[in-house]
Amino acid sequence: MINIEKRTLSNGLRVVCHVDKTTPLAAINILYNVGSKNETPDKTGFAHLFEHLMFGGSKNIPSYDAPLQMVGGDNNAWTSCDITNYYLTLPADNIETGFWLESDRLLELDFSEKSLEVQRKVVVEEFKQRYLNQPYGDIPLLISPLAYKVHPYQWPTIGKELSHIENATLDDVKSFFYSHYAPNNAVLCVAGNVDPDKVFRLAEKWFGPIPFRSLSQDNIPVEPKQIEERKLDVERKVPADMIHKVFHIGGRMDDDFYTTDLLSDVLSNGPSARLNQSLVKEQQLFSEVNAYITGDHHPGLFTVTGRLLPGTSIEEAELSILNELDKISSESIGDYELQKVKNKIESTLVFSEISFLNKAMNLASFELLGKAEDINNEVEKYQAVTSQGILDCAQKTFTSSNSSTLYYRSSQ
Amino acid sequence: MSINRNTAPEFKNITSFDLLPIETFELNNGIKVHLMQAGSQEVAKLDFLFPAGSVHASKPLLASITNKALTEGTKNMPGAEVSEKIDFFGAFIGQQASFHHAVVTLVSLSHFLPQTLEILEDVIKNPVFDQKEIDTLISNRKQEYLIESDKVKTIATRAFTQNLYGKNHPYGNFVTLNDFENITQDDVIDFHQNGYIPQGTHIIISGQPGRNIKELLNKHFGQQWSDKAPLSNPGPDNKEEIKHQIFIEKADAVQSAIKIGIPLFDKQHPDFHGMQILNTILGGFFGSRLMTNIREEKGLTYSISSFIMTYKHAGFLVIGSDVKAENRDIAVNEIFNELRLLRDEKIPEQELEMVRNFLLGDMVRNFDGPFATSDNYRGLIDLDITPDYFHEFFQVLSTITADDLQCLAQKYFKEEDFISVIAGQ
Repeated sequence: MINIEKRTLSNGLRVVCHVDKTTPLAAINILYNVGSKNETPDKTGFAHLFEHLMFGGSKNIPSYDAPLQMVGGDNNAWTSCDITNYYLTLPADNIETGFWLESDRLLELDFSEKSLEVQRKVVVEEFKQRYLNQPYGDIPLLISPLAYKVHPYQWPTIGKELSHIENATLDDVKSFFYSHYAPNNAVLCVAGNVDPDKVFRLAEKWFGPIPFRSLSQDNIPVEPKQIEERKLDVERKVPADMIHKVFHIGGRMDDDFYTTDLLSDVLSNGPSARLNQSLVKEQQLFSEVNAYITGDHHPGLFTVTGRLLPGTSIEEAELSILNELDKISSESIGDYELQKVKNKIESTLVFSEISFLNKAMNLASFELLGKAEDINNEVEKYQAVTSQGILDCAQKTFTSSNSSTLYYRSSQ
Repeated sequence: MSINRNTAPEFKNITSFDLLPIETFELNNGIKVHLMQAGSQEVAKLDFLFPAGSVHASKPLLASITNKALTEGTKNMPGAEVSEKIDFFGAFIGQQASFHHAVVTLVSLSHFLPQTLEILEDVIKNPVFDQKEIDTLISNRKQEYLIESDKVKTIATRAFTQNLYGKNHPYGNFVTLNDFENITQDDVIDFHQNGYIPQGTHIIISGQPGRNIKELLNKHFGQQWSDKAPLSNPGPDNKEEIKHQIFIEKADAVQSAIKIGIPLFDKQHPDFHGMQILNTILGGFFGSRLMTNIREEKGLTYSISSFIMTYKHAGFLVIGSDVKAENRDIAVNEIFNELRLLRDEKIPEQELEMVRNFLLGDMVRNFDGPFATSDNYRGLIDLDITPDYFHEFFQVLSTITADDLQCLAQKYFKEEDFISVIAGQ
């Protein structure tokens, strides 16, 4: 059971505190409810570019990193299609430095032409390093627009194309900041060796004076139900063929999230899972297979993917995956197999509660989606999943008209 | 309440370094056990380090294939059953062959340790090494090798270590497609018999394994199941000529990978701690000289960093980055420029204080709790070094001066000693 205390400041900032006395450190995690889903089709990759700019200095503090390093701290950040998450860890005694730094960059960034120019280049190089100069790196750029036709999940977080980043102006950046970065659009979570009263006092002192901001009303279009099977066939200079299949599922807060998650676990969580045993070990068609769900806030995707061994045709590979999906859609799984995936989830959750930083990130995320206390009901929700539920979920999900398939062929 | 946002709040310096107590004992057969008992969760991690690393093996890939094949079936149960049971208990077995040891890691809920350790005993002592399973592992590994070989970063890294340590020593990381055809079932069986033995083996335990862990370990791993002595593990002979410029063309590469470095020494060398601090200033963290100049000021790359790699009897420092072809020469020049500045000018006091404080904080992070501590401790056991090493580093870090660091830069950052490898355009 994770202990939690919460307050909401008058400007709308939600503050969550978790005490963990086993560490001499503390984590400050602040998430903003903005991701690539809040971008428009002609300006993609902005949420992520913006994450880079958040390290370029703020109104009263020219450098974000140096003062934090000076007190023994470290930090990083990541952007997803739903949120932008910033975190730092430092000796618990020096926690006020973290409040000072985080509050100043929420108050006002130092919008400098120089910082924008440099970070545009850095992000372009990141785009190349991660998506263009890696074998299979462009799969996210191909699969997202195949699966989504209307919803902004159709482009990956890095953006649709390099030019969107290259053409970003300071005005674009400023308007993005004021319409999404606001105390009333953020969750602050502090975890570690801290005193909650002091945390709330510091939160009031540093974040309290930042005004409430009216947010832009993003009208994020709803993805219509897919009614036809989609396929894309590409050829690249890679050593082996890959197949990548996705199916539409619900969002993180939908009732059947836990059922869908366990469905993916039955297929591929751990070496004994069905796809690993059947397709890698017994039939030896793939060198690697995987099944996972995105857990996105809006309706997301169930992915089944695999890298083929030489001698396996891509059609044969697809058929073997479909056979496994048919099997799980027609026969309900036994009690033993269901218990196995539940045990696995339960121990994964226990392990995830070791790290105070992990807890800070998860608590902020739960608070954004509903309430932080929900973190303590996770095991129960997974335990409530039934084999009938998994069967229903598989039947609903694994239909050809709900699928998009990428054949990623080797030209070598 | 008015607040001053221009001035940093007061802070405290880290003035002491505490290492979790490490209890050591021996099993009945002499296996050395290192126990870090702490943590609020009822879980435990056990790392088994066997003298079965790539330096002990007669062929490339043999150590890692043998290590991976352990879980593919035993005299008592097929591989599928091993996975099935481990998964059912919510446990996890990790396998990794490094240069000096082969590691098998068990992560388990504490109350399932009697069951999971029994499975692990079978995996370690009674693997059958079925030909079909070995073939599957080799073909999967070969595909991973081919994919890695396509990355400019990997191409450059391999060329760098081959240049330093030659093609015949495992430190050189030289593997050819032929090597995948040369591993036989007999090789694997033989290597297992000679490497997975009590003598020279360590077990590192972290978390809350329970009070009876010593008895449990003796039950499963305390017998003298082999009386063999560890295989020999010679260091590289360094006879080959080292080249200072290497260029490997990959015409379709969108970016070029740069690796620039120098041979150094092992962790026991008297200058090692100082060099670790100098390396941090150069490229060892986000606020480093290289990151500040080449990424944050010039935007030439997404990332640039330097690190020191150490083996039992050798070591090197290398700077690495991926940049677009047209920026390659500017980036290389700037790297040498930063090295020159470290030789020519004393590090400003404020920068040194920042790096010192950052590294002190990093030490606290690296030793926060039993699992982080055991990961770091494992690196020392792997190289036969005692935990005093951490306290010595803390001492050096707390007292090193800008003059000391400049001396080290002048001694080791000589331009003519550096090796430059470029892969790409």
